[in-house]
Amino acid sequence: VCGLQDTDWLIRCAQNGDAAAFETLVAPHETRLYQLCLRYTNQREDAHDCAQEAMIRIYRSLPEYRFQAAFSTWIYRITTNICLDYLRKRRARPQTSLDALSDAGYYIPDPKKPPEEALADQDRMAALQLGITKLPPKMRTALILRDMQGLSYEEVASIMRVNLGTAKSRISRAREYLRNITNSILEHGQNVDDPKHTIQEQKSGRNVQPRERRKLYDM
Amino acid sequence: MTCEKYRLLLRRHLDANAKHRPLFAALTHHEAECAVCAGYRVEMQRLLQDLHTLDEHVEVPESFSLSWRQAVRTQARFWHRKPAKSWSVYASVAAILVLLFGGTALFRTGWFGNSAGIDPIQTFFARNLIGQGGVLDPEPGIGSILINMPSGSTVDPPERSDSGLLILRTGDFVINTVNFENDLDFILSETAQMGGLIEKENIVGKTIEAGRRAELTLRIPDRAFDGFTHTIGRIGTLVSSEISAEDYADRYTDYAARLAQYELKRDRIEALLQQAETIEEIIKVESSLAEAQYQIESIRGTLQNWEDRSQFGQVRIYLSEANTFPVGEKLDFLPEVQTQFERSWKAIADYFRDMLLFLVIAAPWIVLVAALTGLALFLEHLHWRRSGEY
Repeated sequence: VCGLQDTDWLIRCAQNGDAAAFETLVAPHETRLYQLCLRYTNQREDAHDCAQEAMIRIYRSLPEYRFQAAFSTWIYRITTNICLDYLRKRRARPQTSLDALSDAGYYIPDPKKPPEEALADQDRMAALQLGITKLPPKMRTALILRDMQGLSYEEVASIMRVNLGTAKSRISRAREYLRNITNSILEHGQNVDDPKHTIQEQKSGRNVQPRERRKLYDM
Repeated sequence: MTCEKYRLLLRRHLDANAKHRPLFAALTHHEAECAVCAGYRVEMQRLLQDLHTLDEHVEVPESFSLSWRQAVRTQARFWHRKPAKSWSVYASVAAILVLLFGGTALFRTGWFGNSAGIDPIQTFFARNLIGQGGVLDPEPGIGSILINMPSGSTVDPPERSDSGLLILRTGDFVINTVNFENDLDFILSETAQMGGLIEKENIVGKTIEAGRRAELTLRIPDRAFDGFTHTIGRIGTLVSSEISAEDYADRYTDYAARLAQYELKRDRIEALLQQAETIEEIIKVESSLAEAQYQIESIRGTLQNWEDRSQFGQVRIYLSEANTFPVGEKLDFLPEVQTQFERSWKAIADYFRDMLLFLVIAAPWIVLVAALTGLALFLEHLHWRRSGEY
């Protein structure tokens, strides 16, 4: 029976199939993994399914963990992969609407604020949530890991298996796109298309071709 | 400072946890002059703050906490540890070694169709025997040369011995030798010297380690049969020998009588054929004539075969190379060490030479398999990259 004091020891126990050690090991990350999945899926049921799949995948893949990266980095990597798979499968499905996001209760208004300000905050947060769903997957991953999960640039780069400069660049561009798309949503409502070609169209005054859109989407 | 530079510096400022005073001063200075940039900064700061607090109120549903634990426990019941990656490396190395050493061993036994079995001696004798009337049979077996002896074409007309016996003699020898090449050479030269023929010669293997062996079927003139078998019995270590003789005199007499009857019958039928008038009669008589002629030829062939065999006894020799060192005179210790060392060194050199030859022979296959494996790995990698699992 494994002791519960040392992370490396817990990992080794879990690698041998010890479910209790695995639970002890992963429980501290449970909330963050769920939040990460929720940020990708924007639906509680889907987030639940993704996070559970991630947990099982982590457990089954644990014998392959070689202690080369931090354990948290490794589990984030697995979870983001599952979320990206989810996004790929969901491409054909309708996107979450602004109202649905607000109704889902993601943002709880501060009762101390005046009603008008609280309403404005709620609108802004809902627009932000919708804006995140409209970011390309890789940018979204970088932004969520850095600005929402609070990971360092190095950790983000390690999870995404890119170099530090690429990670920084993606985060910076993601913020810029998110700012633009959030403003657009607040100004024009939720019927805003993909932020990048919207920006391109605004800049160049022309329609972005489908091929160019695909290229932008893959950023 | 331009607005573009301001935004670049602002990104650095927002990313830095501690405020960098000169940078902060430069940004503040530009903001005082540019209201758009000042607004941009407020927006970006608010955006980051909003992102940071967006998930603050998200709580993990209890159902999730319970369900993933339950799922993991279920998985644990059917747990079997996956083989570690290092095992696949060991397995790959083992497979390569098996391929290399196994392939070399097969190469040394002549399995790859290399020239292990074909010896200049064989070619020489085959050529000579063809000159004596033998026919080279291109049998597909490796290192195998088959000489078909022409039926009676080079033998004297049949004649029975004075005693009235028709003896067919056969000898079988199993011999082990430590001097394979010389003994094989000796057997073949003795055969040629005594006017014999090689009916079949099959040599397998190339080196001592590979276990060379020769299977010979010889035809030895009857007058030299005893001397030949006596000589053969002294080669190497005779494991077993068997010499048999069978008298075909009665059967020969019987067949000869039948032949005479058929010849008589043929003569009568030919006389009848002269008297035949109608087509039907001619056809019937000719049919009987053909049957009689067939029987005559068949009996003559059998008799000729017996006569040939009575003149050339059959000797089968199984010559195997013993994997031992020849016993020589007793050497002193140091020279013996030197001899053994040189022998081992030569064996190693021969082995690696054969390994190299095997690699050369197998190279096209190795390249093909490597290319296919590389392609499969590349496609898998491509799939992996496209699936976004970075």
